[in-house]
Amino acid sequence: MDLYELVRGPLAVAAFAVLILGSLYRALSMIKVGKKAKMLYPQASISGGLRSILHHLLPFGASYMRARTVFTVITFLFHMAVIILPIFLMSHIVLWFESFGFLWWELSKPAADTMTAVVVIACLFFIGRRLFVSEVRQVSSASEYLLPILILIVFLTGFCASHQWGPYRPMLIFHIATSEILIALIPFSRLMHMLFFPFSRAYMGAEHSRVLGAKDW
Amino acid sequence: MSFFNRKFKFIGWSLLCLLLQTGTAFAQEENYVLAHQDVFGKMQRPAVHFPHAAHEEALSDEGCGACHHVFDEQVKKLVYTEGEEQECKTCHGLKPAGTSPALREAYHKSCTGCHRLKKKNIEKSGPTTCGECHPKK
Amino acid sequence: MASHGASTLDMNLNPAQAVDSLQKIYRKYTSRKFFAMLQACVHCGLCAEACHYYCSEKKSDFIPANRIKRLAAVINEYFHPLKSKLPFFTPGNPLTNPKFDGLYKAAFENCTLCGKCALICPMGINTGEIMYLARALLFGLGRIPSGLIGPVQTTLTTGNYLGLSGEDFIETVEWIAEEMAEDMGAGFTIPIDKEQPQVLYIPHPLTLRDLPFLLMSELKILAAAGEDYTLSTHDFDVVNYAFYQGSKENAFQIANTTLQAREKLQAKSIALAPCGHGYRILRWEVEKMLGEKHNFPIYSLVELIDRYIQDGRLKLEKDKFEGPITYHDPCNIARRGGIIQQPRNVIKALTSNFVEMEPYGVHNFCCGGGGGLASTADFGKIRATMGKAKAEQIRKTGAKIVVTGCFNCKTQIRDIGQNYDLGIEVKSIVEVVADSIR
Repeated sequence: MDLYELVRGPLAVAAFAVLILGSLYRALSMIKVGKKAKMLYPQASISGGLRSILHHLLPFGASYMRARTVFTVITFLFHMAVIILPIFLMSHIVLWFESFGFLWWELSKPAADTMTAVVVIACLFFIGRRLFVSEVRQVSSASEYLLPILILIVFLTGFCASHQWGPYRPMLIFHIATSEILIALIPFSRLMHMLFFPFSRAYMGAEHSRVLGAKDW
Repeated sequence: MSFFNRKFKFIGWSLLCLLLQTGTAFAQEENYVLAHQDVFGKMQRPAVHFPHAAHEEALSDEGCGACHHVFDEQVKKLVYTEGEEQECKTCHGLKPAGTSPALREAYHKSCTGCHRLKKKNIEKSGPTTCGECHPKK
Repeated sequence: MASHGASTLDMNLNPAQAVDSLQKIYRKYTSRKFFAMLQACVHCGLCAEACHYYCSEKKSDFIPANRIKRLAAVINEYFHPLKSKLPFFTPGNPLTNPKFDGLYKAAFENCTLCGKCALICPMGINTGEIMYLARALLFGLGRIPSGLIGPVQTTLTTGNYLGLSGEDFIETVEWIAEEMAEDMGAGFTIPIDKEQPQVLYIPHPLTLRDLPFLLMSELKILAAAGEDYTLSTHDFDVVNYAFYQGSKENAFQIANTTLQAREKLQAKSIALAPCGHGYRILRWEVEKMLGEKHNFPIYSLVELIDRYIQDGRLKLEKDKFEGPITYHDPCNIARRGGIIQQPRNVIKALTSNFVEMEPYGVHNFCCGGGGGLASTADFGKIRATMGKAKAEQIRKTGAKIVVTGCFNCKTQIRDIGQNYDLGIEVKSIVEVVADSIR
């Protein structure tokens, strides 16, 4: 089996298995360990929770975003790009079709390139923020630098492979391998905020906006 | 036996081509450039230079039916009729039609599918990655 | 939870008992909400600017996210779902583990549980609530600040944190009634243990012992508005420091005496003297402990004052105090209590020179005296340093008078005013209202 087939096949399966099983483990352990609500919330408001989630998904929907224009634009575009690009990139769809025989709507090449640029700029911004903004540096540990660097590598190598810059085959294999590391890391790193965000946000909103009149956005 | 048959067909197709003056070569040339701007419009990837002769040779055991086929309405199956080889885009278009995949998927299924299968069976095979079939000039 | 009695603070545990105690508390105080919030942090650093500690001094320990990290480290060592099952990961002795020293600083010294950072957190992490578990765990180890031990013990045994007896209470109230009669007219009485009143009024014990003029102000307002109220010998303490110990059992025990007093007297509602945590606990936290909504209203006095003014029951003279006047939102009244507009209505009714701090309302900075810090003398220096953010906020308003509705805030802002030379006068909202009554 050649190296490409190894990262393209078994390792990809392994990465997604780790992602799914790991996320399930994280989700279930949250649900199971905190099984009974020891503190009951007679005043919780579901609509408050949902409004809180909505406000924090929309750009400039929350007070911390309104206070920071550049930060908000970059983080919002980054999150859009980092989720949309891998799913709707034509080359990826072709691979899904190869494996499972179904496909979906794809991005145009200029759109894909723009999104890559957004991710690259955003990652550099994030790393720069961690390095130069003192309070951010004070909360950062090694993993907080490594994650944006890893994302940066994944998207840069992907871009190079797609445009056939540099040695094509090694570039492609490196791109796939690093992506798989990234995917497998999701459940065991800060990237898991994608799972916990709706929960913590909803709990917060349920107690604050409607009940206490303290809007949490 | 098939040689003569093929030869006749070849002459027939050539004549037809000349008649229609389509400019694209349908004949069994060494290499075909598979660039279907007429189907895809603007293409995301560079055109594929398809070495037909090399495939003929490599697939001499399987025969032309390894790639060439038509859909038989009666038996609802893909069948290969010798001497009736057509271009992929004769049937496969931009959009899938029923069970018939779109042109891009038809190519990918035939080419990469076969290459990967052969690789898996540790046989002589062709490229399996995007850029190896769609190299930037 | 409500069924449990008070939990005792055991300061002489052996290591095995300590681990056991930690585990019990961990199980009792954690929930899905807790785990979701604990794990959602992305270390973005936005919470730093919300914390009055960090705004006053740019130290890494003062960033809310870093305080949570300390708790997460302890949880990882003692309660990790996988690691804790493995023999070679035996957690250290909690009594000597330095992680708990850091946690103690983070939970009791470097955080007032004000909850401001929670409102800025993109992930919706209620840091104050998370840090509560840190206090609970430390309570389980018997490690809490001295100022939170004595008052709670006294409350649990005598019913109020100053240890006043029922006779002391009646005597003081009678004396106050006599004093007030000069002003209010002969025949003025203060009802005690009157049955079926509209309002059961729970004062702050300090106003019974050291600051009677404040209690006079409160009673003057109630009397002037013609309120059908009563004081009660069953409970005359709004304070509940047990909550800040990290023991919800003790906090419930103390809050419950208020609920029982209301039941005995069949009062229609409870009104509380200006006290931040007392209001928050009785109004909101007790509901969570009981798991049901109160079927009677619980007011902070300022809510009643606002209503009296609106209903025309209380007429105030405008601009009796020379402004500008600003209002400090106590965390537990505004952000964690939901009373934001009422005090503003009240102050605007008595001055035409009202200025807001920036930020104000739910986003107001903690004064630095919350979370029980104001009750521990050893924390005086921390409070002074961490009051810097508040001091700057007040200075910018140019206010001459800072009005607030919480005892601890009042103490702290008075101290800040002196330390930072603000030239301000700090007044309780009841004082300015009572002195403006026409």
